[in-house]
Amino acid sequence: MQREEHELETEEPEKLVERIRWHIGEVGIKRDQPGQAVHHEEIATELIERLSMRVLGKAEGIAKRICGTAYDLHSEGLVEIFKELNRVIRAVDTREGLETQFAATFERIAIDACRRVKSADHRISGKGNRRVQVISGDEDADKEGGEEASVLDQKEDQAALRGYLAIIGEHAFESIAHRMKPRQMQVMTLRLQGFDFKEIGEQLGIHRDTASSDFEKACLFIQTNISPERGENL
Amino acid sequence: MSPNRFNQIDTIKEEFIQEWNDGKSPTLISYLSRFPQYAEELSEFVMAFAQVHAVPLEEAQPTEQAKEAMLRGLSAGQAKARTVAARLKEIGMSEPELAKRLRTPIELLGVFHSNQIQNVPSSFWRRLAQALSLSEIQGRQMLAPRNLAYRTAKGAIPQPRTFTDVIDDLQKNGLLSPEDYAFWKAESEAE
Repeated sequence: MQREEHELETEEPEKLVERIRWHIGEVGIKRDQPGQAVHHEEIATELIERLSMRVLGKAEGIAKRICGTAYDLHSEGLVEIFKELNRVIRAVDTREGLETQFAATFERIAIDACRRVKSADHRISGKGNRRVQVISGDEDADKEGGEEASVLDQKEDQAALRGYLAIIGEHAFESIAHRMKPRQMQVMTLRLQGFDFKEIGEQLGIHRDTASSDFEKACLFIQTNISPERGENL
Repeated sequence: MSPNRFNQIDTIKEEFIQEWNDGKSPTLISYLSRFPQYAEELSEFVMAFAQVHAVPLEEAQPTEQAKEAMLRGLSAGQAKARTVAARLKEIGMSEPELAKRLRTPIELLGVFHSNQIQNVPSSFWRRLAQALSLSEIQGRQMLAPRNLAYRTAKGAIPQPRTFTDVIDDLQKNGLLSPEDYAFWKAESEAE
């Protein structure tokens, strides 16, 4: 679907504009004036800007959900989304490429771009350490075999977990949440917040392999205890 | 990771989203059983997807801040430059103009190349990215210490310095105005 870098750099602007016009012709395009020089790169840029404006609202929503609004991180998510969108639109070399699945392609680009920003934020500036720890699981309870613990104290975490469970096959969150081992729930919730296994291990005082294993067990537990339907709340 | 592998994962992710958009019920588990070789990437992607769709996504009117970020992203997507100097040439900006927008002397950028600087205020990265019409990630990459692996192997990397120490030095050497010094001092302390 995507061309090699060296091909992109040598592509003729006319062909680029032709393809983009085909992809997003319904947006409306600037008419070339007879007798005037045609600046195809300018036209391509304008078309991509118009397309970007159409999806900006959704992009902002996705960026806020994944990056959060602290430290203007969602703005950086938006920058990364449109940087990548620009690249992909210019790289798609078949008419079918974007036309048939633009919504899915855009959302994939948006989610991956925001994940990169969030990940870079953790890695480079250590902001992850400043985030409020929302988990209040009781390690002692876990060691004793998993009493019902208040592992999800904030509504937004519960909502995110519901969504996650719905997608991997959950129907009734309440019926299984209290039956999961608290630490497995902690690991899953931290994964939902974007922490990797090493970071989770550090936060919970366990080895990264243990965190990874807990995550797999939590997924298996959910898989075997729930019906594979989308939650009604979605 | 090879480009082919990237493309394949992207296609799988888009298939997942398309199924969801069509009102079907794609599940992570079913995708993991079909594509076990991509387990880690798919798990992380679906978790982020779930964060987005945990509650219905409302599309509000885009804010001015969002529009600015969009335009910066489109511009950043066009950037071919890998260094600050090359980017300045690309966008037709002079060094003094950049320094003015950053509120720091241009010498500070050289310090980034030769040292590892810690506790840099996020507002510095934001200013740099906005001034150069780049993403923050691109800006950070442009200011990364040079030849780090080689210099580390040779034991030629000095101790990491904090941003506050660096601006102290710049101020002592008369390169940073009292106003800008106070500004960055406050920014550093705020974080």
